[in-house]
Amino acid sequence: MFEFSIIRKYLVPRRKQLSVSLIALMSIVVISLVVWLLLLFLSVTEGIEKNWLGRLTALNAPVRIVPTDLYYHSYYYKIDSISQNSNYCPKSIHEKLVSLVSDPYDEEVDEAIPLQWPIALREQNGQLVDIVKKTFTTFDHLRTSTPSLIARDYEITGVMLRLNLLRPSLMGGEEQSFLSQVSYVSTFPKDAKNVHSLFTAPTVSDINLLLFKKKQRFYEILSHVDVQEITTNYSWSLPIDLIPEKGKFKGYRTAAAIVLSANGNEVYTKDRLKELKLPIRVQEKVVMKASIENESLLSAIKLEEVKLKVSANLQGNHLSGNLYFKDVELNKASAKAAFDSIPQITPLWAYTINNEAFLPSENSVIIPKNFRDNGVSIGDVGVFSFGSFGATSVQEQTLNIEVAGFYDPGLMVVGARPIFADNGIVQTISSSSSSIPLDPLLCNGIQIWFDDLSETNKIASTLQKKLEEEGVAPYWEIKTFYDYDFAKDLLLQFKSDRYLFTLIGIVILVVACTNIISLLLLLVHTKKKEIAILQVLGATKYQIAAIFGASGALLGIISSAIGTILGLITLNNLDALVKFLSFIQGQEAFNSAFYGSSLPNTVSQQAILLILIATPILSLVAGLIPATKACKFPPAQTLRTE
Amino acid sequence: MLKVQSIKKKYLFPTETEILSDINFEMAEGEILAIMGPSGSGKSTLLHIIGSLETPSEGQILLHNQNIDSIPTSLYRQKHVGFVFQSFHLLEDYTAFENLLLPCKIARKSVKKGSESYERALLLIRSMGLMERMDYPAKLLSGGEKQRIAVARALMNDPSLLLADEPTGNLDAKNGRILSELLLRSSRQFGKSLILVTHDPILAAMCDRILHIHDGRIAC
Repeated sequence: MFEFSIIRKYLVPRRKQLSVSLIALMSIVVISLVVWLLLLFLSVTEGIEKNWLGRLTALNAPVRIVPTDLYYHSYYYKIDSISQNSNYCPKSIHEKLVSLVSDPYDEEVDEAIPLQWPIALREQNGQLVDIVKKTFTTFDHLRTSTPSLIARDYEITGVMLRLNLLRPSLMGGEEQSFLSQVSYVSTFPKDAKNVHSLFTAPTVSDINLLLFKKKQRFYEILSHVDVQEITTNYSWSLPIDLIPEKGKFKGYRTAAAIVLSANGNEVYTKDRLKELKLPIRVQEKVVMKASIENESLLSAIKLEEVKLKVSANLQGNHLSGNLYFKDVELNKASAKAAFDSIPQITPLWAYTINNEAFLPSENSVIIPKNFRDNGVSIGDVGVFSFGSFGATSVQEQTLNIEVAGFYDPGLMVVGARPIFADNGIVQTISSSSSSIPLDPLLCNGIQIWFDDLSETNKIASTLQKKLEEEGVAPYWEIKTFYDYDFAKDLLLQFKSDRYLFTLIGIVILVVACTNIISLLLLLVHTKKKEIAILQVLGATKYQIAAIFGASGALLGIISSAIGTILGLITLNNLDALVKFLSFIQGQEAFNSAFYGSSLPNTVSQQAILLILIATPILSLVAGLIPATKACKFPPAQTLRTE
Repeated sequence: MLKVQSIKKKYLFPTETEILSDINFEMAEGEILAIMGPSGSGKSTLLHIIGSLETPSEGQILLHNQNIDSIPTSLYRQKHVGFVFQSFHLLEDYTAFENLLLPCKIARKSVKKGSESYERALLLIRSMGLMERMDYPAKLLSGGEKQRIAVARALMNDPSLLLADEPTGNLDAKNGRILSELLLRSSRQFGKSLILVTHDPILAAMCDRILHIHDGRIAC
């Protein structure tokens, strides 16, 4: 194709055509920058949206089925309230599911069914249709086409959370404070997709507090902790064995101890310290590299018998040896919370086994991570306080609970940040107040998880069809995460942000591509004579137009390729870029409460597609304007005047 | 072979001017025709009309009894005519050989090594005595060399008619003579008809026939 050889000659920078080369370079730089920015923004927006959607659907499930009014007014639901077999209490979905009888009514024992009650929905053989069980059967059918589907019932209820925050006192001993907060409590979605990814692992401070509060359970705690560094507290005394033979320390003497201090005016050797037979204190906290001696952990009866292998530097002397776990606390350590198989020793915090989440005990709860800001730590104990209807009055009841972990709810409204507790706890609370549910649609329902969120609508409509086939559809309302009130606004916000920026990006891209028009018009002007020669040699108008049109498209392709590559490199090093921006600004460039610990990003396929299609097309269109001009030159006249 | 019938050319702007009026002549196959006349008499315009670089206001041109208007312009320029201009009109950034191959590339012919076009380009550049200059960029060639390349380029697509517009006009006497001989010899050697616009009576005398144009009319 002779057109390409001409394009190559025109676009390769030459000193002779400096202005053309400079404008070409500028066009490429500007378009690349726009492409880079567009890719970066759309990828980060998509990343944030995906991240948020991940959290939203992990906590609240992508599809929820909630009972309709018809369910609550059905014979199936109401019959429990007049049946002795159901203790005259309406049953939750979970209770209905595990109940052995579908129709608890016994006409010999129970009162007569009120006349205004709806007629019971019965099978052809006269048996009551068990709506809940039938609904769960439809999930089995759905699992054939969506094997990853998990369905479980949930309950949400409100409680007063009261936590007792017991902490070690700086002066020794302990001090305590209390935290009370009205909260929502929801069933812990232990097998929900990705729920494990929301857990935040226990921190060093959590482990230290656990060791303080549950000292006697040190073995269960330390078995799952990898200790790397410890620090001493004020009452720690330095064992003589750690001191090197030739070590020399500055310090001073008090009536009860030798205090090692860089400001001391006496020098102590190991021999001298042995002679004095006084406890050796260190004025500053000492940070030591440490690891637990496993044998001592197995044989220790109390925490103080656990040995640590330590090494440290004190006043230029190298300390090393073994140290008992006394008057020290962890400074750097990591706790294991994810296991491949059932751990031999159950951790004292929430943990996962192959992505399935577990609570350490029946009264364990997982709370949103913002409670950390209120000083709550793993191992803190307290109560759920709630009202229960007695014969004459509302009585306050409490259930003991213990914080077993934190989860990161991301950007959720308070109502969508419940405390997760064992099913038993939630049922106890909700059954005590279920006689007057404020919003029954939100209190009880079924959550459905699956892997591919893009299939949400398809799965919801398949489910609707199945429920209709089973004849139980009127009793349920299917809601996808697009319908959740607490998510709707944010989802719309993400969508409109994406559209808006794509629109702005395209406008900027169009403006950038107009540079190509100027460049090619200049090129057409300077190459007028060559165009006429090509026409004389028989080049068609299309061939001439193709040279300039393709030049524009080529500039677009080169620019979008450069912009895309730069964008991908930037996305791979986004954390470094954010750090750099934060450093320049002198403050956090992106709010971690909103974006998380690192700016999430997913290479936006949509952006890449847009860039790779729109940029060359826009550039081609930009190239066609000068191309039209070029092919209209009358060759004879041009050659005469040039 | 070529019939020029009642050709008229008028320019309407800035004022109505008749450049050519009622031009009629015929040319035989392989004939070499010189067109002479004073500046502004319409010689170059006539040549451009024959080469379809301009359109006549009236009249028609038949090549091998076919009206050239019925042939697509680009195809006519590619296949039937070859141009040689006074100012050479080579692509300066291309080498001499690349300039030769250009008409074939435009006509979408293969120019790979060993192809018919490639071999023809080699034959032509050799016959012009410029083998050692084939890889030189055109801008580095002398005027005479450029014009020889231009002649070779005009012959590349094997046209039946060569049109030369004052081909020696930008050359010194010696180079002009060499070029004239080369042009006439090549035209005869390859059996091409040649229309030559010139002011040089010696060159015109070397042609088979001379056509004088005065004020847009054939003088005799």
